[in-house]
Amino acid sequence: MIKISPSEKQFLIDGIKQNMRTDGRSRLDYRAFTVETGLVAQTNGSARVKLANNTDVLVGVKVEIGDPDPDFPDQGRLEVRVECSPSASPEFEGRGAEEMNAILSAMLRNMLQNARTVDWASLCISPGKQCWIVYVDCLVLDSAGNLFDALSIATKSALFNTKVPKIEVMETSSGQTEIEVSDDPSDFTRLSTASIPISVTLAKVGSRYIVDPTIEEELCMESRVTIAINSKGNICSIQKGGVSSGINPSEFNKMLQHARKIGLVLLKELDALLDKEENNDTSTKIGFAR
Amino acid sequence: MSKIEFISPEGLRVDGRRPQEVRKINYRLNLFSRADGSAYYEQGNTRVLAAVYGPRQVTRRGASKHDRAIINCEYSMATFSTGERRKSAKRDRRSTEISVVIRQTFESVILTHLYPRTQIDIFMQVLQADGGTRCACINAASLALIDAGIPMRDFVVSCAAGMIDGVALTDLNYIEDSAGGPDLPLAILPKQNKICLLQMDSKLTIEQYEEVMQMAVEGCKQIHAVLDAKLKDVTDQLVNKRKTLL
Amino acid sequence: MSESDVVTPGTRIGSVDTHISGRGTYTRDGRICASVVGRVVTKDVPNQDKKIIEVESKQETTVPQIGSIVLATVVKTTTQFAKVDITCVEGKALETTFMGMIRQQDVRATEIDKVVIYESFRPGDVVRAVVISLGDSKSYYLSTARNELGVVFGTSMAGQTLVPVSWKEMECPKTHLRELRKVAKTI
Repeated sequence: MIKISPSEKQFLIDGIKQNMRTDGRSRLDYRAFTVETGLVAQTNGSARVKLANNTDVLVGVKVEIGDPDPDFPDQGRLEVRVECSPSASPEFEGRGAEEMNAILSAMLRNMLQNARTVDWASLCISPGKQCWIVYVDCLVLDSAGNLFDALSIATKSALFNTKVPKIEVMETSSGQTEIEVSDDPSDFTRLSTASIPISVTLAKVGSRYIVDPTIEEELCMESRVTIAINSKGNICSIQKGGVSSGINPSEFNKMLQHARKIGLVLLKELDALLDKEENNDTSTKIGFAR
Repeated sequence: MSKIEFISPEGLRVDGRRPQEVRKINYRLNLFSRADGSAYYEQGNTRVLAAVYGPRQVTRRGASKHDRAIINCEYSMATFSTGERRKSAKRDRRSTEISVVIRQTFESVILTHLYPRTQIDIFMQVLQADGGTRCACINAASLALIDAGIPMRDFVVSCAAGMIDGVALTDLNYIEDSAGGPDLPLAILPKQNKICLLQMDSKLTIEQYEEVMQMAVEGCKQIHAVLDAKLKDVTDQLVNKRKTLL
Repeated sequence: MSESDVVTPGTRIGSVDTHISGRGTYTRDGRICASVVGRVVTKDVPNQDKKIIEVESKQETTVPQIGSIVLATVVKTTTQFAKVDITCVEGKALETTFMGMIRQQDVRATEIDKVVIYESFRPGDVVRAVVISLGDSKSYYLSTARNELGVVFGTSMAGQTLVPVSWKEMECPKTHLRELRKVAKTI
């Protein structure tokens, strides 16, 4: 459990009032992040995101053929699971991370589930009977604050990297549908991830708000707002959490505007990074052994 | 049914190795900011992470020992680590068994009497599984403990060996492991020449057992040489950069 | 084994006949072996003809030892003892805190049966103490029975930082009310 003393808390809050955070950033500066895709061989897509070398998140995407959701028979299905590994904090051992996992999984599911983000209809194989199930499994390896944003960036990158094998649907003589999955590793389709949003987290500390809190700042914050922005600048989901106070609606609007601006900048940066990753061939990937 | 040729007529295995050859090893220390010690270890296509916390306050009050530290191990596999997606990976029997086995291995090696009433946590996460995960985790945990500066009697190294079609093989990968032959994971203390973990399944005659054991020991020694050399290299560089290790 | 050689755990670095085993080493069958990865260093020991051999390594996590001076925050007080959270050991901040306990008889050196814990410590105070024993399974036993041990930082009922007045009183600078504490003499 990271603990913070009252003096340190006061120091942080006063610094933020004067637009100076302990790591040198100003209130609305985002930390630099690195993205690497295609690291895990046994997945259909994977990505690892590091925020300032301290927050480390690994996402693996696997696609399998299965039954669709009975409420949406002509769409693919999404299963999101977040697991906080004890390497991020010893209290995540055993069942200690259950609550954290549930909150993070719910947030990701919220962002990805609706039809505008991913073309779920294209993942349907035969309506009512077979569809692609996309399993998104996230592993939080190290935490230095702001897991929400790191997870959303990693998920978008992993889905961008996902290769869904091409299939052929054939009707057999007995009326059964048979699916043949292509064995050729270069025979695949990609998911359209252009509309997947990423989240931007703002934390209210004292009377000001900051973007991308570190773990010490998270301990001082009164409330947190996580806003998902997509490349068109539309707000896709909002979640307010946090311990202490409420937020004035006009201040809330200002926060949304800022989050939107920052989100658009981040998306552009992420898209550029992902394009670069795409063109890097696997032999130059270093992964963890860097 | 197609029969996989585990040993080709030239004596090469499925991935081109010789029977006594261990897979390519790579590792890195000190990856995580919160853990006291951490290591990333890969042996062929098996990739594992280990994180060590401690010595710290015992979390389960009743469990603390008055004269030594208790070791707490957790082994878990990521859901995307195997070919078929696994369900929730923490509480299943295999993970619990492996956690216990690894804990017993390290209890005999760490100098626990130096830290009474404390707890040392070792957390292992398998990112990619291609046979020999138990052994890779022991090696990763050894490196993470070294990174945390926790004193040990010796450097634990682990390797598995088996026998397919009458030929003893070192360091089986997933395909060879699933062939149904015996699997013998072994962990030794290389400098003292002592065994701290030995398991075996399936069946072997006594002579075959001796042969497979010898292969496993040789495999461990090979791994130890690789880990040792790079460790000395890394520490040498650190020393030169900072002139002192403190 | 020459000095400034990097060794790994288990490497033999000397023998009991010629050296004394120091930090980062252990003895087995009359031989001294390294227990951590690091550099071998030998030091002279006064009044002994054997040298002490140690392995210099990356700093391991500090754990409170008997006799170490610690800084702790008071968490809970009862009539018998004060429960504290040990945050610093010998000037080094800890990553994870340890539980400690200051019993009624260990608060001061004189009149130990007349001690009232509430007049010595309050929850939230930062206390300097010495570890006297590894205690029971839950907490270390600490003592403040020396002049330089006791409360170093306290907050008054009005929320201001208290200013020490004597070894048993502290004053709030705003309301000028005096509160009772076992104060540390910080000179």
